[in-house]
Amino acid sequence: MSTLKGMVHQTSNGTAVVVVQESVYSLEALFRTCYLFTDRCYLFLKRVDGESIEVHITVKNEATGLDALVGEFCNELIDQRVRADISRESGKIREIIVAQAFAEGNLLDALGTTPGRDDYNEDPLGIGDSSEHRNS
Amino acid sequence: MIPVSIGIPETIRLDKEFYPASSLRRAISDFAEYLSARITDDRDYIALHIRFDPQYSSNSSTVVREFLNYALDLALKARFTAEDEASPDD
Repeated sequence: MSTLKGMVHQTSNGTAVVVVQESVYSLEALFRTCYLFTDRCYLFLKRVDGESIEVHITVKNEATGLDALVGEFCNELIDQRVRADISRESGKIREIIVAQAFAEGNLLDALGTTPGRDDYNEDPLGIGDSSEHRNS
Repeated sequence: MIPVSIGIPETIRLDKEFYPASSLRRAISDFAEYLSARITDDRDYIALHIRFDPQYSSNSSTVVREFLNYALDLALKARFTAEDEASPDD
């Protein structure tokens, strides 16, 4: 377990203890990671102090390599952290896209400041023209 | 790591934020065949008092790990289910 020295500070009898700093990985990221791993290993969470949480990881199957499992767990922590960051950054845009997909009108031009833009017959984007152009 | 003496009640301190009482109660009910346990609610943590049926003495540590893993899984499942219901667009 030397490759993860510092983060994994103790191992014994097929168990590794990963110390997770909350300032680096949010509780949300930790919980989602744990949820993905409860079927592959035994997990036990213990708060060490206000900043750190110990994750005790024990292999369920002897054939499963503990090092690889811990490595995957740590990678998943990073992945979940990045996912949370991206979700936070693009959350508003995603909401608008979903809302627009189910809306009848143009949510971005709800006041109708661009007359005729929502009118099918007006074809403001010239979709019909380009289609005819392609077919000709 | 998780010491358990056969036939002697052991107490394991569990953080409430990871092991809520509701999940522990459900886990105790589902594991009733293998162990008997009760919980007491302290201000900062939940104390799990656990006693083993002697016939499962050979693998008591594994059963405890299974139990705690199951309780954690229940807690996380409840947490994410509640979040999904709160934000159906996600």
